[in-house]
Amino acid sequence: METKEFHKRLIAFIIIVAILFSFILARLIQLQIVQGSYYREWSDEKRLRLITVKAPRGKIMDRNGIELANNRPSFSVDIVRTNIDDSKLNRVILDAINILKLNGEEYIDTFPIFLDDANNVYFNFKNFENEGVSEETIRAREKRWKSDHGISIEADAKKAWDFLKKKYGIDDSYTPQEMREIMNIRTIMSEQGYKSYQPVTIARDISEETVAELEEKHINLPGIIVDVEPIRQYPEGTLASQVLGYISRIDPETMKQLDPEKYRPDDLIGTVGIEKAFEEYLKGTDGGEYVEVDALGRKVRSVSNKEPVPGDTVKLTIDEKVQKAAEQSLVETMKNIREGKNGFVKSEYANMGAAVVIDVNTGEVLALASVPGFDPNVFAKGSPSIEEYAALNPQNATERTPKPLWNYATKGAIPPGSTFKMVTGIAGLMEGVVTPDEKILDTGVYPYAHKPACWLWNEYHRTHGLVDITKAIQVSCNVYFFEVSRRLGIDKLAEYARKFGLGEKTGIEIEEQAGIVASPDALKDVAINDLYYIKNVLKMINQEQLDELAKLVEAGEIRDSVILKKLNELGIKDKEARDKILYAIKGAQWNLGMTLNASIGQGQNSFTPLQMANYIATLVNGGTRYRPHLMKEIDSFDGKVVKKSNPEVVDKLNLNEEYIQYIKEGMKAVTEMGGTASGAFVNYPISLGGKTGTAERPPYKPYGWFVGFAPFDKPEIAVAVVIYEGGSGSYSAYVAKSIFDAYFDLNKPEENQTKNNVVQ
Amino acid sequence: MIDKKLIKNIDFFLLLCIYLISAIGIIAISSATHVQETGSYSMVLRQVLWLAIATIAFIVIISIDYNFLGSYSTYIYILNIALLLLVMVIGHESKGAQSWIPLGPFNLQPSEFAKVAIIITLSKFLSEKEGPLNNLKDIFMVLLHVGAPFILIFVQPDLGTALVFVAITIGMLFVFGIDFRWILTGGITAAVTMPFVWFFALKEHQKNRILTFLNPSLDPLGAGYHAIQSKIAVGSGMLTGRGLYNGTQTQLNFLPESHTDFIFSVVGEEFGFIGASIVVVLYLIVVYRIIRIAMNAKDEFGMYICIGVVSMFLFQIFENIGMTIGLMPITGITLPFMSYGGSSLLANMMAVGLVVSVGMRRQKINF
Repeated sequence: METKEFHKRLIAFIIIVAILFSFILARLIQLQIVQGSYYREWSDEKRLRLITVKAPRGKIMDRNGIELANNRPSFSVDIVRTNIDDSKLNRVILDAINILKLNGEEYIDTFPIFLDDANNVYFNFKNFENEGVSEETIRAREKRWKSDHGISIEADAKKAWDFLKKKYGIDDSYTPQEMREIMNIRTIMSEQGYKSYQPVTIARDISEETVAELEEKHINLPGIIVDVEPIRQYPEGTLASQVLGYISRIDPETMKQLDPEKYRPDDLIGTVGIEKAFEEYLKGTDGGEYVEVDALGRKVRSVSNKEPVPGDTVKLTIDEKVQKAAEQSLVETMKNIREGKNGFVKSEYANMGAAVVIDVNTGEVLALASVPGFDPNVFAKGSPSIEEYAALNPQNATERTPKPLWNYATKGAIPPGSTFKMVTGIAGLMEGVVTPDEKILDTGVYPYAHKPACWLWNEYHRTHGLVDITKAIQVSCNVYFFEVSRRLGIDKLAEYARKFGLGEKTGIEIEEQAGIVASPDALKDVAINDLYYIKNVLKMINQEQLDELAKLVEAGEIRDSVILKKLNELGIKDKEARDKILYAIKGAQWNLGMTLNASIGQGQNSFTPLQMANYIATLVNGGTRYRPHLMKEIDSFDGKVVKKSNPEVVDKLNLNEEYIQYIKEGMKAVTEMGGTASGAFVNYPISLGGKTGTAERPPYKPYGWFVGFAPFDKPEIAVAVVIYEGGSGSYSAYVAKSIFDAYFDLNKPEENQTKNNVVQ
Repeated sequence: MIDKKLIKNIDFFLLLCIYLISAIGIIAISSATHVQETGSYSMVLRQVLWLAIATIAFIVIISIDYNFLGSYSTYIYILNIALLLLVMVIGHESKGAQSWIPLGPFNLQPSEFAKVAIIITLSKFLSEKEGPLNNLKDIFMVLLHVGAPFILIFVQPDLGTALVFVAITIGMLFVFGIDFRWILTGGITAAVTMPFVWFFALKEHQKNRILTFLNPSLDPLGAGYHAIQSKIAVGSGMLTGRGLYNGTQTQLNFLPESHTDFIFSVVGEEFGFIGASIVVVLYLIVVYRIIRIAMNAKDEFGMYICIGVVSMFLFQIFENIGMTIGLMPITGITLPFMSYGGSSLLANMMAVGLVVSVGMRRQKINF
């Protein structure tokens, strides 16, 4: 061992150590002794503060780049704790709230303790915006709120009130209402958790007058900061509102599941529609700025800052022009029906309608209209008033009450009526129970089952005579389809309906309902639902009894003797209960009459307009079922493509081209002289195919359907229109005509002129 | 079991300093975890428990002749690499790095133990060679030896810990003696291989972390923020500090990670310059005593162990304290014996055990 060499190097090592440690000590002297008082002051006055710079939400555009949702700058009011004591802070809060109130501004109020007329306090953890919350959620919310604010779990409203009053040092000189305002803001501030020294937003989109007043009084309002932040804007108002959806404040349950790095409790989040479906893209990344502030909490200089990254732009497949045509025409046509104009039979309840347009070769949704719509701008601040919200979401609504927030195009599953007949037709041809040439005799009254009749017989006591498939579709002959379905059987018929995507969710990005395909299984489900009703609501049976009875339903049991014996075994003696159960179980028995009803789109069959449009698209493109979709492309704010959608094939139906042709010919005849949709399409410059449907849904007036496609030879788009209680499907055809006009650019110049005037 | 003479040779002053540092650390952790506010001592108790476990590990290590451990060098090396590979597979991720193996109520961080393992194995390797290091094969062997664990930790990504390996290697090679030319060559090789690692081995978030390490201004609200808040905390402590549990930066959560990476800021804020400099001096004594043991070691293997350990401590102390006072960039390196964390405390005590073991057995012939 060359000890000497090592020794030399180790001595060198010690010297290096000594140098490094003297660096540290020198730096400590500098920081703590020389500059100590400077840093002490910074620390005492919380002179350094993080200001979140909200990222503008990504835009939503139509397929041609027309902006359907963007942002505009707005003023918001933030509050931050400065170096003042409780009593001063409470005063500041109240003064600021009073200024907001006097100027008619809305401010955020999430405080769950309310005062009644006699100033007694009570809890209400139910947020009026989400009325669907369960009791359980509300209890959990209460528990969490209490623990967040250090209130004991058993405390009643009065105890919690007194606790907070003491905690926040609110003295008795305030009125109870004033105390509530203070507690509201104080709890919002403390909900920031470890960021409690960061500003929190208490009001959004305030007027310039309010800004001026706050600025004028800022000396007396330490910690009240007016900030500019982007606010959501929907330049086209109600257009495509149910597609776009809206944004709202984050409820406590959702907040728990979000990344706290990305979301703050006072953020807004997409709640419905595209705003919800593409939230992760639209949100963007908030930036921030460290600022040195003065004693009033106002910025003196910037210490460091990170620019926000705006959210991605979501480009939809929607064509604004077609969407607008669909909505306007629905409104117009419904008005004409309600007023009995344009030769329509008056139906005063024609208040709701929907239309869907799909590109048959890709599944792109070009228009998805649901009328009435709503103005999503109402939600942009995150605090719609109770009145505004109630107007959009009517209380005690019946089936007839229009619900603007409801998307009738994707969530309204209703009987399709005669527009379903192409399913029956193609199923019959494909399964070989009928040939294209076979003519079936319309006898007026069909001699099987409950002896249903053709509509022509019911109305005029006439018959269609001998009809083949093309004719049957053209004249919508019920008897022809009764006969085909009788030969097919319900299982085959239901199978074809499902192949076309009916009765199942389409997979579109926004909220939708599945609907129901009439079938023995669906009927059994109804019976089992009835049994659950007897158990849960009427409380006549228990779960065990229900399970046993459900077995009878599954087995298809209908014999009274067997069912009654079972009831005896289960010890169900109450007469009323026995009757109800017997009725429910026997109701699950499928019969031929139900098959006949199903064949003409009645009975249990209920589908959404979106499903209907996609079924027509699948039929006319030769049997390829695409997933209908609304997203065409997502681009980053600086124009890079983030995501692109491609046509997605869900199923290939392998339909016989020749058979499809027979069906299409029938649909073409519908739109020509003598067809049920000829009123709308006579002399139409483009040849097309369609089918009307007048769906019975007692006790309401018939729902008017029209489904169609164009151009006839090389179909590009499929359309489905429905007007609730519209009376006749032929009226809905006028909406489809406006849609085709817009899509094929057929609007005559002068017509354009008048339309524009109407808009203005 | 252990010879009385050996016990007499234990450097008790070194141990005293280490336990003092640990005690100050535990007090600072109690402040950083807000015990007086929450009444919850769980993290403090965990740290005390870990100190007890670490003491047992220390006793076990000093009972074994380090040369006995040296004879198992190959196995230690293989086990070490295996553990690091395991963490890649079953490890769980925390704060962006996948470096933990869940083990019942605790999480184990193999990279902490890897440091000790590499010190033993590299010492063994160097003690069997003649310095200075000047042939390609030996240099290649050293690079391979340290390179494997370095890369495995680098991709977790835990750049801070990976750099500790570099510090250990540089310290040991410095004492071993190395031709300047080879340092240059090493630098060039690293520069050439880095792009490959960068483009082919690293994930996007790993790259971001490394970029932020190299240039904290890329993350002005993260690392930049931590740097400023820590400086305010330490500076505002002034001469005597704000007093235990009274540091506003600590108590109001302005300081991030105050119980782990920024524990020194807590000391600076609440105990002032007096407290902070006492800690610094205690560390200086620890470092000096270890170098002294190295000087008196009976063989090269023992000396290299001491140098490896002291290089590790020195780098961590300087980097960690340095980042809290704005001398060094922010990185996730813990302060030995003070930062909250069982794995690092255990590994560090094991390292001290090795050093003490070398010091105990410094007489060449006793019989």
